[in-house]
Amino acid sequence: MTAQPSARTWYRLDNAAKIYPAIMRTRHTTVFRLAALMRAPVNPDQLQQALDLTLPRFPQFAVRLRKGIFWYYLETCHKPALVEEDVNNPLRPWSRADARSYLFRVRYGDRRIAVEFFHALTDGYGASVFLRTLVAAYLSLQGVAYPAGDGILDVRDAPTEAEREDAYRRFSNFKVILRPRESRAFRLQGTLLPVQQLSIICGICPADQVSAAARRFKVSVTELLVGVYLYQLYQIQQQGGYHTERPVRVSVPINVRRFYPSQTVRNFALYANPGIEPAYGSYSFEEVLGLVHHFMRYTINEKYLNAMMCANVAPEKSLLLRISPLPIKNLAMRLVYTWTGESRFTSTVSNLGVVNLPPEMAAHVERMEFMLGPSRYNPVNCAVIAANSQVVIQFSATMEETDPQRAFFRHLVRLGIPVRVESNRDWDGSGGE
Amino acid sequence: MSYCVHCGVELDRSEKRCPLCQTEVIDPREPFDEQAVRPYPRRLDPITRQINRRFVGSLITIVLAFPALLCGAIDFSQAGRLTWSAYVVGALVLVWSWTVPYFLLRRRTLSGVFIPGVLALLSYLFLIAWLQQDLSWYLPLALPLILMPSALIFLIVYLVIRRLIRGFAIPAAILIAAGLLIVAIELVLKHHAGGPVSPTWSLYAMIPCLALATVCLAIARRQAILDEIKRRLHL
Repeated sequence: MTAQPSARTWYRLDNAAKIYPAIMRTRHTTVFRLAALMRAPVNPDQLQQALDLTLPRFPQFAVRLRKGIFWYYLETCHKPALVEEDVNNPLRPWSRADARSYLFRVRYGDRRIAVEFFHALTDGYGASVFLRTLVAAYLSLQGVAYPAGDGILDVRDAPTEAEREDAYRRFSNFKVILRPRESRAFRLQGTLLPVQQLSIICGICPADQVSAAARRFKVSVTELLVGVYLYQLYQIQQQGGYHTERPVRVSVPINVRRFYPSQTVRNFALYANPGIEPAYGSYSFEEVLGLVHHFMRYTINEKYLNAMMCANVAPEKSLLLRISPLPIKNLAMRLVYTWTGESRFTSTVSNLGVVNLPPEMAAHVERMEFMLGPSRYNPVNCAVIAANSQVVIQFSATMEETDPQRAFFRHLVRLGIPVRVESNRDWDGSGGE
Repeated sequence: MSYCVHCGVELDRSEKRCPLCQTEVIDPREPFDEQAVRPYPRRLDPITRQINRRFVGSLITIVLAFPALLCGAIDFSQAGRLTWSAYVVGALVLVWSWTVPYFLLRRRTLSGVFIPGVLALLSYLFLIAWLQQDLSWYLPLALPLILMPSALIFLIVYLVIRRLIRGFAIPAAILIAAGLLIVAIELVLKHHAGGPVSPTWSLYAMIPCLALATVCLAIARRQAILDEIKRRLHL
């Protein structure tokens, strides 16, 4: 039995989602992807059935993007959601034709079940809940017991209002509004790949060895990975002939749910941008790691994050902005994003953390994967996810050169962490079909 | 399992080279297996580059609408009606009609973009004549002097787009059109002045134009001359 469809026919975009339709480009798709690599080949018919079971449980995802006079909004879509075959270059941007349908795609590969989400719909956590629920429904069709709870929703339950709330509005207290002032950051440069190619390099590491390395430096796993990446970006800047002393920063999305009792599966994340200032002098790896560690500890606490959240929500409450027509808002948001968004960091490391899989599912899922879409200015992005005792680090890039990826994985190997590498880069030889 | 000798990372069986450093995998015990299942499929999703023309059209509209509204408001608040601001608003509408249809039209045709622009230009001149309360120059001068070059430009662009003329035939057509246009302009001016309607000075401009056009047509018909010109003058 499926859940009752919701009576609501449209939704406002949540606070973080408002910017994504305005800044979406062919090379900045604002799409991300989560995948579960199964142990057995995927049955597309059963996956389609599982999607038909799962989607009514997530009415906030069964929507398409529409334009209002003042804001974009999400309108309930009644078209059938169909699974698609996986491709070499995922994370295709939403074209006008695509926008008339759902803002997510479910893809199946040989053993892979993947979901691609337009960021206006949800964040990494929301997508992981959807994917885990989808995989649980898929496995239940194959006779595996349905393991509801712990980030997996029961498709037989009715959707709740709490799951689709705009948590930013609910939890911003407006005591202080904080907008960190950041100068323009160092930008990686390289040979741009053709628009239909996306370079994916995936490193798989044992979770216990990554944790052990982090413990050795007395930092968290996110801090270790961000520290390694930041240090290697800094090395590339110093040795790569860039002749610039601009700060090297990495944007790290933070799941704010751990500070607030929110059940929302829509966007509820903020960002911290740890970085170093090469103009101040040369840094050792330990120094970079220490800076990242202390920056993250200083930034990631409820009060600091709330002040940042209020800075994002405040413009939404301004009457002048609200009554401005959508084209003017779009223009303003693009300008603001150009000045204060992507240009303030060199790359992104998004760590979704450990995704819990109940034993019934863990027996059928080899690993989880997480991938960010290409950005307009920053050609390399990194996404991390851990499940089934494996840390999967996936780089997606629009740049031909692989210097950041190579330097990052070599550094992990030097830290004693074994890395197994996979990629989609076969266009050098045989080329994509 | 093979390892990259440079990076130290373990490589998938389907990797012929290390994806990080492009070093070829040479492992006599476990050679590269071309039949191994690749971790990602080979099928490519077609992606076409999208330019948001509607956004550009909206942007131009906003940029033009702002000074138009501002001038209109200032003029109206001072004079109680539109006086000088009508010229500004008309000029901005003219700019809009030449630029925005190109971005907003789903199917951009020559007539869809060109004809509204010409009509807007005629309307703007009519507005000026009407505001000055002097329509005497509009019909005998403005109308033919706008319509004649517009018709010739439309015709040449149409022939070029349809590839009915190409190569050196294009400058030949432009020169013929320019020569005829000069004569027509002289006739219109003389008719308006009230003198005898016969070409005099325009012939001195038309004859070189036609002569050059003949040269161009001759070149267009001789492939050898064309090749020589391309060889000597290629950029």
